[in-house]
Amino acid sequence: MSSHSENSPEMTCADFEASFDQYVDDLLEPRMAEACCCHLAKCTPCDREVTRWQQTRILLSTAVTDFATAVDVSSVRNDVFAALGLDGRDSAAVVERRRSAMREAAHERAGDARRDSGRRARREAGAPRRSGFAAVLRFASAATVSAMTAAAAVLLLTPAPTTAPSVVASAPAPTSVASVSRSSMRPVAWSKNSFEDVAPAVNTPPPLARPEVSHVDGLEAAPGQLVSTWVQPRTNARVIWVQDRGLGAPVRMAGLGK
Amino acid sequence: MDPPDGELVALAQAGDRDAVQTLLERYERRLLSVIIGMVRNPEDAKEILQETFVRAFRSLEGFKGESSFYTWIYRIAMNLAIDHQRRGGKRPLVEFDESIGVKEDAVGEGSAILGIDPFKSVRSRELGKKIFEAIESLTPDHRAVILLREIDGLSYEEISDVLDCSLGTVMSRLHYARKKLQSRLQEML
Repeated sequence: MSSHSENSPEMTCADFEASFDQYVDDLLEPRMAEACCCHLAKCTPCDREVTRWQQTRILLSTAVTDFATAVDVSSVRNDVFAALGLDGRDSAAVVERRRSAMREAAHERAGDARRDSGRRARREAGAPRRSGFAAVLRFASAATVSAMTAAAAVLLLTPAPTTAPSVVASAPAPTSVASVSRSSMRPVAWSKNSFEDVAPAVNTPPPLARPEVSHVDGLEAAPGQLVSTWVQPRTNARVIWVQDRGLGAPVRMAGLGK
Repeated sequence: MDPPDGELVALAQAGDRDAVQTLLERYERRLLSVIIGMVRNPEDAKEILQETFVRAFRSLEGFKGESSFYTWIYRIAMNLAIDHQRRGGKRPLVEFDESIGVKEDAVGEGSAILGIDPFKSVRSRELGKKIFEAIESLTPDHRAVILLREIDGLSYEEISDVLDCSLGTVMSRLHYARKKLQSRLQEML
């Protein structure tokens, strides 16, 4: 896929230009890729061109993906079902599958974070240039998936309307006491999701609307405790609120995007 | 484990509502990203997305599985988006909203490597606007190729299948689109 002959000792700028797209898309055969790397190591203008494209690629994908992520498509689904003459309500199987997918996505995000840390450590240890470039590509993909997954999780988890927090849970029977301590500042543990405590918020009690089940997205409360969780629409921060019946308790916030 | 498309398509062809919903959920966000890159206006993008699914599911009985479902549905979406663009669009373009921020941790590693701060940059209204203007400077055909490749990560072969053009055409359009985008965004890099 290039005019560069494998027998020729040096790749020229014209040769590299001809292979540019395959190189940045990681589609070259190993020998050609190696020849490109050697050329880039010696040729500042070509090297700069590759770097500029990497920057352009990141700007492009983050801008478009973010713009799209902010669009609410829930009405589209309903309209499609209506146009097809199908019932718009979610079946129990679909709801369960969606929850399961969210749990898996949370695991993947945690895995991505661990892998990112590993890549960062390797890069700091002086990994070769091409590995860094591949890491950018992998990272850009992972970041896009991560951002979209987080946004999807917000959409799926957020009670409608989001400005009126309403998901409330109580614990009628003993559950996992380990997940909620009895101290005044109650650390809230997630069974699988790695939500990060950001900061305690004010003691403003949320509107407690309708006590339901004791399990909210992996959050378990001790007997006699109420748990509320909602998403702040502007910041996408998930607020988790735990309260003993009749007692006030601090609010913990966790950023979904973290 | 999620069922493969082929299995869901077979169920959907038999009238299984859950299969339709799963396919819809699987592709709505992916398609929307590419469509919105094509038309920029969210309302137009949603209309095209809806029309894509309605057309796809209405004609699902005729789907023989000669190409993959996602290639097929992408083809419908891109044809609708390209037609929309050739008609000149219906609504005014929407400016990039600076409130639509990029997750800092999502670009932090890339920025560290590349020596830029895309989080700070992309978040600015001006840059977001310029990025979309750069995309709009491309013809619908070039725009389709670059978005399918860079936003959704389709292979050259898949793009060729979706856009019903040769591999060589995909490669030349991609090369041209990249160079043009790079030159339009040069001052920001």
